[in-house]
Amino acid sequence: MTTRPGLVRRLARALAGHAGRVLPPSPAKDEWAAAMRQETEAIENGGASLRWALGCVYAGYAERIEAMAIVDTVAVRGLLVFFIALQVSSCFFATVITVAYKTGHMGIVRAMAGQMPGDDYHPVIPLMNAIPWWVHALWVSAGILYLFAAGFLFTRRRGIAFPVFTAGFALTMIAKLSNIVVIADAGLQPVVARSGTAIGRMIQAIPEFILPLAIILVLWLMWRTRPSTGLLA
Amino acid sequence: MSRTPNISRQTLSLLAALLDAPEAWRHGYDLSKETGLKSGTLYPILMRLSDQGLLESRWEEPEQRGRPPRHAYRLTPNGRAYARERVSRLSDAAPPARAARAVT
Repeated sequence: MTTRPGLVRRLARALAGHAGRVLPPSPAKDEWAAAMRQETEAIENGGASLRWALGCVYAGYAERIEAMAIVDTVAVRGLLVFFIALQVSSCFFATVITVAYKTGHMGIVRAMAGQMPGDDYHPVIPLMNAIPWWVHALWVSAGILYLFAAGFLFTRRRGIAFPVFTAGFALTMIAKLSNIVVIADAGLQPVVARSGTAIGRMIQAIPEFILPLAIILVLWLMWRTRPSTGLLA
Repeated sequence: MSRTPNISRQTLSLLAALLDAPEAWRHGYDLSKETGLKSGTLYPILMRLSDQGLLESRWEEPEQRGRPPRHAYRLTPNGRAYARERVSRLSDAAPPARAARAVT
């Protein structure tokens, strides 16, 4: 009967100790590490003590990552802007080609057909006719949110970039689902666009939701990082 | 013209809790229960406040034998002034119900 609490307590103790060790070096590191350990020890309920220790581990790693300051470098921000640009082009693709086709700008349609199987736009004509305007509105809105997120990132307003990009991702997901439903209702088959560049094709090989989720993760890390003079906890 | 740094809802909540009894030394777990902040959020804020001279800490011997000493915290005089200013600014800026929600 006493085995389980003992195990939980030992696990909590080990986690709190680990949390203290991963804290970044600082004059106060030892004191905060001890504070985490002792507070975990002082909590009488085993489960609560374990939850407290898990939080300490999170705090330890968060502090370590922040001290490394790797997520807010020019290189990372540039890479993020590039990846966001890929998301933007993907969001605008269907709408731009549909508008170009319906307004008779066939030069644009043929140029964009280079990203389709067989460089042929004809298979997508039924899709262009089937997809309603509100689905395009969703795609364009998502693309605009992504553009704003890239702009905020560029101007270092990372606190806004994260929620704006996340909202864009949510809209993208709704648009994708709507596309699937509309296409299925119309009895059509989706046509998958392929990138014209080698790097684009490599990126396309990654499941499509992984890239935006990775962007969200990095933006979140930037967002939760506080400037040393502020209190943006 | 200097701009006051932004402050998170969580930091504000902690400042308000510490300001409730400014002379009292508070333990991390008690502050967590009062503010609803998990330790993963609480410790980084405590560290930041301490780094900026707004929070002081000390080790307290346990009341019961066999229990470990605990780290206790309270606002410094500067911290109290800062906390009062931030909490009152929130109260001025928002209707009472919203202000109360924002720090709980």
